Amino acid sequence: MSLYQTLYYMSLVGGMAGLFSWAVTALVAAALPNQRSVWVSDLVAAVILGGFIGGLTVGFSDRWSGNRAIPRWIISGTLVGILAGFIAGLIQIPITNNLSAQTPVIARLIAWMLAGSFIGLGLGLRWVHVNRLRAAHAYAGGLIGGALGGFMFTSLGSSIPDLSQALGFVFIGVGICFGITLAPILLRDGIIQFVSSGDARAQSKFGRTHKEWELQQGDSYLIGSENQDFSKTRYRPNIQIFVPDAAIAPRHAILFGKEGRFYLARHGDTAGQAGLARFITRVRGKSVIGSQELRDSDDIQIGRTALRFVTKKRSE
Amino acid sequence: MNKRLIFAAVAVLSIPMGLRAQNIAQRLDFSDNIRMVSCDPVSTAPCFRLKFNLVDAQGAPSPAQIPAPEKLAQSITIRVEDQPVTPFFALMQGGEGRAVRRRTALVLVDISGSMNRKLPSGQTRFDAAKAALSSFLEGFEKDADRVAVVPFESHQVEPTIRGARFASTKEEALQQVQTLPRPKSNNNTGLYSAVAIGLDVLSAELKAKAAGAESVEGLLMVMTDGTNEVLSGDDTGLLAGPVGLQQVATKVQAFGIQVIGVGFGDPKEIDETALRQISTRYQMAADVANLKKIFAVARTLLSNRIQATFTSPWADRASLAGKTLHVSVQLKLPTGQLLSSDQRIWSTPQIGVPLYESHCDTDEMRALVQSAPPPGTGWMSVLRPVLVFLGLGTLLLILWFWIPRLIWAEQYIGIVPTQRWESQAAPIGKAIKPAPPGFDAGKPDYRAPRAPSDPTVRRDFTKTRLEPPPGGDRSRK
Repeated sequence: MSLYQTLYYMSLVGGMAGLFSWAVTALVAAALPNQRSVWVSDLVAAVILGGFIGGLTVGFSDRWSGNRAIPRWIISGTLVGILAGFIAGLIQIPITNNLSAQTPVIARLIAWMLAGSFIGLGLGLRWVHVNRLRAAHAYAGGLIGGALGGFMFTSLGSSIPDLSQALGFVFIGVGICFGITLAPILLRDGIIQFVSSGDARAQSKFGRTHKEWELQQGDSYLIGSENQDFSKTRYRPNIQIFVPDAAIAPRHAILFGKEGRFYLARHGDTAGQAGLARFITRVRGKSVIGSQELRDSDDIQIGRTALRFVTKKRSE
Repeated sequence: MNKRLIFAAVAVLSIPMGLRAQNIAQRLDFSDNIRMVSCDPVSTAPCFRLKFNLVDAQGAPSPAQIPAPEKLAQSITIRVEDQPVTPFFALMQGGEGRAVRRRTALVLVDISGSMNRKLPSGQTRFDAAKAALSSFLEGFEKDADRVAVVPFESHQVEPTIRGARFASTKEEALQQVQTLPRPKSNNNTGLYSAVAIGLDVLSAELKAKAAGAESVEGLLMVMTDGTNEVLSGDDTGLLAGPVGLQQVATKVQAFGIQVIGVGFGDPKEIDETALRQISTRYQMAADVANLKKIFAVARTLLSNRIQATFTSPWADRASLAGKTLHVSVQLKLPTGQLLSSDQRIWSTPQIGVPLYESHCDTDEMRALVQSAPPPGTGWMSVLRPVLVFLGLGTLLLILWFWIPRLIWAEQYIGIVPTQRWESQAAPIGKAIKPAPPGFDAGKPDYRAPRAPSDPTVRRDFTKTRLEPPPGGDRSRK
C-alpha cells in the first residue's frame, strides 16, 4: 500500500470511527440523566470519539502493515483514545464556560482542536519508542485534523438535523486520522518501497500495492517477519517494517537515520556466523556484514524480498 | 413673573419626558441561565425555561403593574433567533394573589479578623452584618423560604459550609444569625473557596428539593469586608490567586445560580474586581443602612422573579446541536408599556448533543397540555438518525471499495470477478459467458504455486541456507 493509499484508507477509517462515535454518542445522550453542566455532553462525546478512533486506527493499521491485528493492542489503543478524549474533555470545560457565550464559534473550534490534538497525541505515543518527535507530529496532525472537523461542524451548524452533526463527527474522524497519517508522510526523509518478493505471502500482501514505509531522521526501524502473536508489548508492534517472508528472520535488520543519512545494519539475531550464512541482507548487490549507508534508489534484498530505498537527501 | 412662567412651562414639559425616561429606565433582567427542560411525554420538542426580574437602571427591583396571572403568558414574547415565541407557561412570584414558589438562600458571612473593626456608628462590622441579616429574615415566609446562614474565614471552610442547615422557620434562621461565632484576629478570608463550596451545597440542596413537582428558586449571598487572603496556618487547598479566582468565576457562570456579592465596609479594603467576577450581581455598602437595603433588594429579586417556559421552535434536541441561540424577552404591561431585556446566549455543547437540564414541573406540564401543543414528530426523530447513519455508512463503503478502483486502477487490472465463470452461480438475469481457453474451472492441469521446497527456488535463493534449527521458529525460543 503506497503512502497515499495509506493516507486515503486511514482517513476513511477515521470517518468510520467518527460515524460510529456519533451514533453511540446519540444513544448515550438519550440515556443520560438530566444535566446542569453543558460540558458533560462534550466530555462523553470526546471520550467515545477517542475510543473509536484509537481502537479502529490501531486495528486497521496493524492489519495492513503487520500480519494481523492483535486484540490486546486494539484494546490498548481504545483505552489510550478514551484517556486522551477524557483529558481533552476536561481541559475544554473552562473554555466552554468562559468562551461559549462570547465567542461560540471560536469555543467550538478550540474544543474540536483539543479533542483532535489529544487523541492524535495518544495515538502518536505508539511510535514514541521509534522517534520521540512522532508524538509531537501526531499531536500537530490531530490538531489540524480537529480544526478541519471543527470547521466543518461549525460551518454546517445544524442546518440539517442529525446529518450536520454526523458529518461533523465523520469529518473530525477523517481530519484526525488524515492529520496523524499525513504528518509523518510530509515530514518523511525517505521511504522504503516494496518491489517484489519470492515469498508468495509477501508478494500477495504488498506486491500489488507496492507498500511504502516512510522513514524519518532519528527514527530506528526494525525489519523482520516476527509473527505479531509473539509480541509481548501492550500497545506497539515490535517490528516496524514487517515482511511476511520465510527467508527473513523474525528480527532481521535495523534501518536507522542519523545525522542526515540512513543506514542498514543487521540485527543482533542475524549478525552471527549462522545468521550471516542463513539470512540474506544485501545493498546494491553486496552483502551487509556490519552496517551499510544507504543512498538514493538503492536496491535492498532482505531474504527473498526486494526493497528500494528512496531519500529526499541524496547521499554524497 | 416671567421667571415663574418659564419654570412652570419647563416643569409641565418635563413631566412626560420624565415619564418617558422612567419607561426607558425600566427593563427586564435575566436572573438565571436559560435552561433546556424536557416536556416529555406531552411534547417531544425541547422546552426552555427562563427567569427574569423587572428592574430599574441600577438593577434594583422596579415596581410596575404586572398583567394578571392568566394573561401573563400572552403578555410575554420571547425572541429566539428573531423568531417570536409565546410561552405556554408564565408565573410571577410574590405579591397578592400570586403563586408562592419555594425559595432557598444560602448566606455566607465573612468572620475574618477585620470584621471586628468599627464603623463610624460605633458598631463593629460583624454586629452591623448581624443586624442587617436579622432584618433580611424579617420577611421570612414559612413554607416558602429556606435559609442557611453560614460563617466563613480561612479555617474549616469546607466542613463548615458543607454542614449548612437550611432553616425552614424564621426562628431557626434567626437562631443561626445569633449563634454566628465572633471573628478572631487570626482569621483570614477564604473567599474563593467559600463561594465555590457554597455553590456546590446550594446546588445540591436545590436539586434535592426540586426532585418533586416544582422548581425552586436559589440565591447565594456572600458578604465580605476584604479580599481573598490565605496564609500559612490556614486550611490547605484553599483557592487563591488568579487561578483560584478564575476557577470560582467559571463555576459561578457554569452553575447559573444567582450570586450576590456584597462588599461591606471600607471600599479601599475590598477587592471589588474579584467580587464582581465571582458574583452575578455586586453591591457595595458602607454602613448598616445600605447593607439592609441591599438585603431587601436581594429578597425582592428572589421573590419577584417571573418565570416563562416555552416550546422550542426546533422539533428535537438533535436539531439544536451546534446552535447558539440568541434569546431576548419582552413583556407588555397593562399600561401598554413594552419592557425588553438584553440578549442572552444559550449555547449547545461544543461537540456533543444538548442535554436536558431538568424536567418540566407539574404546573408547566399542566399549562403545556392546556396549550394543546402541535402533534409530536417522535417517529421522525427516531427514523432520521437511522437514515443518516445508513446513508453515510453507504457512502463510506463506496469510498472504501469502489473509488480506489478508479484512483489506483492499475492495481485492479487483471482481477476478474470470479462469479462470472461458468462453474459458479450466475448473476440473475445475465447470460453466462464461457470461460476463455485455459481458464476452465476444475481442469486437472492446474499448476500450484511453487512451494519453498521446490528445487528451482532453492537453487536461486537458498544456497547458503542452513537447515532450520531444531524446535522450529527462532522466535518461539
